[in-house]
Amino acid sequence: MTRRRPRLAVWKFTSCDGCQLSLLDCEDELLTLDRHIDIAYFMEATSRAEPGPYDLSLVEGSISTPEQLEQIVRIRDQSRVVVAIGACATSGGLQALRNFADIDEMTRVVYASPAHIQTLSCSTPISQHIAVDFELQGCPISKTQLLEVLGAFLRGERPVLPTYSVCVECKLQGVLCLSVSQGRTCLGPITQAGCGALCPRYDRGCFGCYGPKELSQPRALGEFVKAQHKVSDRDWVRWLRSYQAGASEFAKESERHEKDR
Amino acid sequence: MSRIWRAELNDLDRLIAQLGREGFEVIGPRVEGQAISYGPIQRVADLPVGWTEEQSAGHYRLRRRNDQSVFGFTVGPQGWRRYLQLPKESLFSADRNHRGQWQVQETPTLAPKRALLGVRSCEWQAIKIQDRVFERPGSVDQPYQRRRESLFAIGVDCVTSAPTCFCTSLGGGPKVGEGVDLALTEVVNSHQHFFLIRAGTPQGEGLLTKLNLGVADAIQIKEGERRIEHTRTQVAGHWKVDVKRLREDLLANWNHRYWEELGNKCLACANCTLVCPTCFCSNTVEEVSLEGDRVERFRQWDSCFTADHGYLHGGQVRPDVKSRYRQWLTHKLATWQDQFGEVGCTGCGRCVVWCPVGIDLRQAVEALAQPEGEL
Repeated sequence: MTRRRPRLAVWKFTSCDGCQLSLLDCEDELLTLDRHIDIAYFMEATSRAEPGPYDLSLVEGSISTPEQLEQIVRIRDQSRVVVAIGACATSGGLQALRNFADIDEMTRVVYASPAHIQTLSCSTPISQHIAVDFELQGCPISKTQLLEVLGAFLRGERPVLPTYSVCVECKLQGVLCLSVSQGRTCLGPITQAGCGALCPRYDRGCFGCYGPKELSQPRALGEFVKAQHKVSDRDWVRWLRSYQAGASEFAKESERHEKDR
Repeated sequence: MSRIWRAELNDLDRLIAQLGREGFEVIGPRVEGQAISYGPIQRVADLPVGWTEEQSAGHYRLRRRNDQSVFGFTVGPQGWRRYLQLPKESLFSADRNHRGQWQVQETPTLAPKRALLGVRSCEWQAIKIQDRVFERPGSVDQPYQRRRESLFAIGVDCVTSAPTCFCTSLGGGPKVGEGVDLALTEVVNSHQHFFLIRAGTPQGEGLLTKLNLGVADAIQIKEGERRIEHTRTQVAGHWKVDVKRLREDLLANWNHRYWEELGNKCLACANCTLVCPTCFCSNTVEEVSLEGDRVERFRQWDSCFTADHGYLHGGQVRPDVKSRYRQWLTHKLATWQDQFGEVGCTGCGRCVVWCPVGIDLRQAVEALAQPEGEL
């Protein structure tokens, strides 16, 4: 029995390409994947581009220029299922730091001829512009989680991925809590699992690159680390404003400190 | 009463060696990174000799002692639970052959012979509580039971306490309870350092016979008892609670305003439940190959703080942090009594210490017992 292979497209908006690379990084699985999926559009892998429609579109990157506003709508129109991959696509990425600053002032400082720059004042996630079927968090995304998303798509299932905290991954592996045992700042309790507690395993506090977990409460963590670990307001804002600066829970907490000031 | 023996430091080494000869992997406390946690040990020198810890809500620091105590600390980051109820355990796998038929293979249960050295009173009580959960007549968890049967437990009476210890308020400690194979009391002062050993099972008795120890005299026994009693008085000052009232207070105050406050403070990160030695929840997860022709089913620790835990046939029954915290606290202290005829807490204090925002269960209970207007 032969069945038409579903057609896959991989799109890039404002991003570093690292999440698309996670797909190419699936070396052992790529050939199997190719038997079941027709890779129709994937610029990072091949310049051969086939026109739509597509069964599955993986979208990397945030929306940060006027052209992208139109392009993302065209992609939605041509795709049966849209999955946003990575921090840029799900929360605006590192470049969402601009959301907290004056874009004109920044452009003047950075570029010799700011007049040539066409940009939006905010870097925003894909879901702010079109309906997204699934968001895969992480900076960069986990290859294992990406394979779960692709496998679930092929099997016609919903991906089963954790929405709990990084702490659960530490505890399952018996990794010592850096926060309690050494008073180190760690965003693990407010961040979604998926990385396998990579940083805590290497003696570093989690810096939240997988974004807010379900029911993330940065405010409660902030109140504690400021009082008990003597983290300054300024440093707490910096902790929240990195790869997931634009994620609503993190952004809300960092902005609260600016309002207070 | 069975006899009490006296052991020197080198006898403890002989005990560990003997367990090794009898095929046991000996697991005990060790200084690992910045904490005292459990892992394989070979000799007394592997134990946290001269170390202790400082503990309070959301705070743990490793500290030096001014003596050479081997067990001069209380409890560390995680208990023995991970050796009995494994954090993640494969149950079976299934492969689909070219004719489309599924072949199922059960995963063999891992149940090595293990000797746990340094089980504290609260921890032994917790193991017994988990026994009643996993070995309930009619619904015996076989992997748990097999590991439990392969276990040799050496208890240690507590002669020191942390401010977060409250075993005595729940009917336990600081002396290790019945059923443990062997139990030690450590006596250290400026001129002597020895252990009192008693056997609690025929297996423990058998092992002691092989060590040819001398019998402890009345003065030495009294020295040990004095230390235990001193610790009992200390711990009793850390919290007093009436278990029956506790249940009534919690269940009568289901809509107390303070739950709201706890819901704002708690991170629902699940740390308390994963360091708790009696929590037993697990989730069943499947890892499926890309093509769907191979699947492996695992059982993995879960927590009432995760979204999946409260997701029942199409709906979330605990949609906010408040309801998850309330589920944990009321189950642990109140409805556990209805379910198993005892409290699900042994006062080890881990949920207090390892909470990244320092929520203290004792404070929560006290506040919830107050009339709302008086908060």
